[in-house]
Amino acid sequence: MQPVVQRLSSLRRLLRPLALTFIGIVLLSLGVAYFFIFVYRTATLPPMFSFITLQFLPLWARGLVFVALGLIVLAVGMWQLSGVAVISLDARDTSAEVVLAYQHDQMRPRMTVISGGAGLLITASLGRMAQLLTCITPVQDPVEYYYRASSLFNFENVVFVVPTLEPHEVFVELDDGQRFNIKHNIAHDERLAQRHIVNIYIGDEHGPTTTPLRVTQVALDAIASADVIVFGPGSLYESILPNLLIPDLRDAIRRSKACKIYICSLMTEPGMTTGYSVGDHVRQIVRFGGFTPDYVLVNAPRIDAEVRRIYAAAGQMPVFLTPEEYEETAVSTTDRLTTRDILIEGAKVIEADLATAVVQLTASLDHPGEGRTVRVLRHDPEKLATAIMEVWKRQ
Amino acid sequence: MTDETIVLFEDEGCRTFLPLTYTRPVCDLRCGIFTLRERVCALTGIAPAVICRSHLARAYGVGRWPLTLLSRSTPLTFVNARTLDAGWILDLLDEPAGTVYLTDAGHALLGSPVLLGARLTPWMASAVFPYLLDQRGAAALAELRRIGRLIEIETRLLTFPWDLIVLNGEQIVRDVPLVVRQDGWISAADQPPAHPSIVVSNPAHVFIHRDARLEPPLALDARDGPIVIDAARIEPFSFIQGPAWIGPGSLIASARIRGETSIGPVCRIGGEVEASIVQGYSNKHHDGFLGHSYLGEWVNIGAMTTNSDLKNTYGTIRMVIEGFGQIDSGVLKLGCFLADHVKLGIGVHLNGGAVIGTGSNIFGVHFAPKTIPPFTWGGEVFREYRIQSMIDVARKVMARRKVSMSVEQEEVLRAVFAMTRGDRAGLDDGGERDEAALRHAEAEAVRAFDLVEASGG
Repeated sequence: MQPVVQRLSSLRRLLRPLALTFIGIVLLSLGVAYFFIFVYRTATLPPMFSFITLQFLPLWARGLVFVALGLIVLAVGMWQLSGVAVISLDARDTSAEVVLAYQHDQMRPRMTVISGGAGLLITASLGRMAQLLTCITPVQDPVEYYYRASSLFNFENVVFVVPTLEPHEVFVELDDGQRFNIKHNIAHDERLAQRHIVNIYIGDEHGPTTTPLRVTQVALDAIASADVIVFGPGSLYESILPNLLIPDLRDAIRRSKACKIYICSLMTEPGMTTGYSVGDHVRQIVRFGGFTPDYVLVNAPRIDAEVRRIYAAAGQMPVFLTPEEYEETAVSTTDRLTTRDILIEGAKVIEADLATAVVQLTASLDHPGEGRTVRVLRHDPEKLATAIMEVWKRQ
Repeated sequence: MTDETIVLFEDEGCRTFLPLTYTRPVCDLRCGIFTLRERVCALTGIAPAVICRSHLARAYGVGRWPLTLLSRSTPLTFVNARTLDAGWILDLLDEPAGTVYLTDAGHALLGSPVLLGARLTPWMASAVFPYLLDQRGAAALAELRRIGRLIEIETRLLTFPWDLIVLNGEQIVRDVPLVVRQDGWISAADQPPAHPSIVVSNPAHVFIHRDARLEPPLALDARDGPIVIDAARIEPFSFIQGPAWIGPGSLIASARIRGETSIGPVCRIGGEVEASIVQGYSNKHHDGFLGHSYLGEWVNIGAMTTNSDLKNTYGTIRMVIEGFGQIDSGVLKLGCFLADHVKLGIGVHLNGGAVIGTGSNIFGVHFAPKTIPPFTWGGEVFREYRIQSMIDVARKVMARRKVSMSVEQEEVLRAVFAMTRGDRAGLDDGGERDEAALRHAEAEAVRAFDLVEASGG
């Protein structure tokens, strides 16, 4: 008897709502009974009805049978309810309780980010919304840089992992045939400002490597277990595409059922993505990654004229959707009346406010003392987090 | 060497030490004179970082997400937190990055071999870091097999709680040189005790700290192993047999301390103690026998409470290991294991292999059951100990030793209470009966930690 009482005692805090529910059910039953009596007395019913309503029994016996049945069903229901233990959320506040088997964590996605540079740090701030956020750093970057930079922030649920067991060099080929290590500061080389990249590979200046690239298990696990895979924000050729050149990682991404979101760059990069539209960015991912992202997040609002002028002086233009791309629309299956999605290479493009203009102090390694402040456009962590979570919920 | 980063990591084996490791990482269990954390510090001069289970990370580790650990470009040295003899760590520190040490686990239940340690560049470390944060040593080893140069090392890893007891004596012997090389230590051969009633056998193996207070008559018998007495107070009529260590701030109250015993800091020990470990800040002040046993921190044992450490059949003693059920320890002599904050009333008898979980308060019973879940109170009938009451008592107890419970430590206790709730599912939850007895037992436990002047000055 003691275990039974103990189990049922877990419902003691639910006594009042359960009692109210019981009274409500009794009143509802009475109402339904009146309707039944009305039908019973006015309509002509088939002979089977007399059996269903137990008319072969005296009235008091019928009542007894239904009461007994009702009590049994009620007892079973209460017993099952008490099995879903009710526990205190916090022992200091016994009024706060939670029903077991409901975990908030289940509502938070496991996220994997493929990016690099400052963009990866921006996305890392999403960790507080994720069960676990695994940031796969570019194959050519020292991972300790990211750990060092992360010490400036208070990241939660975040780890940075390398994609391969050893670091590798990444090379690009420009439209004039020149080859550069991606670590060569192409975007700041004025002689290359009007060029753009036509090919990227892992290897050396002579060509792609022939040795197999050994992927880390932790990166494969992160891809396989992810609910959301985010590409970017970050430089297309420096931060995103290098990891997509690793065959095993690329295959894992293709196989993954996760929602794949590409965060398109805000501005073109001189010497790398000069003249690229949103579609051009997506097409490079399709070309080198062999998959199409499910969603592409593009910054929508108009850019402040002054900021635009500063970027233009550096040979950079906002990345936008071309008129042709706007025409590639599709009707959403979720809301036929109001929503029309733009599709590029099969990826749904979502335009949203993702960026904020910030004042940034810049200094070069060559002239560390000559710092200057400039107004720049950056992806806003809060706006980005909101957009990504909305897309994930939509998915 | 002080520029080095040493990281102690817990692996799957940390769970075999429950309930002792509910409230501390494995590397903070005492065996010999030191815990592993202390031993690494004494050996290398480097304060190691500890990555451990998430509920302990803030209180005893470097946080749940210790990203700064990998922020330097120099190699990191990872060390399994179940390491006992830390001598190989010095060898690993001299190895090139990419060196991985393995060892035989010593027990089929945990798989073999086991990742013992590794010296890794940040690149390599980041490939296994998420596994180590989740105590997945086997997954980390599988990955390191692809990266590193593997070297098999013959050493002992702590695998089950009884290893602490079985290996304690030899570890005291190994730890002695690390202690006595520090300032303030004198051997009884170099400076014999002034009083003729302090009888010392084999004085070359008796090491006494200059702040220790020895009150004659005493017998210190180091014929079977060294005796190390830190800044403790040894009351008259005590007998200490080596190998033994008495920690700083402790009081030996006319006790018989038999060989292979470690008494941690700020303990009060009376009666007879044999081949046991007292982690620290615990009391066994009165008569009664404690043999081949382990006491956590803030434990209080009432007068005449005694444990059995040998079966009448002279058979090996079995012990319940969480997640594995009963396991035969293979040893003939094994006592009890009391986790942190356990309080035992007077005249309680404990079976060999008995395990009492964190924060339990047991009284009014002649023979305690062999396994008692954490946060249990009672004797005839066991009930769940309300966490707030337990924490209130723990605060008072700690305050008497001038130690305050940190917010993080309180969070650990609450987390352990929540995670062990299932273990107490079968306990009586009803009513206020015997509440007065509990209040009395709590008051007794607090009184037992009255301030005492343990060390001389």
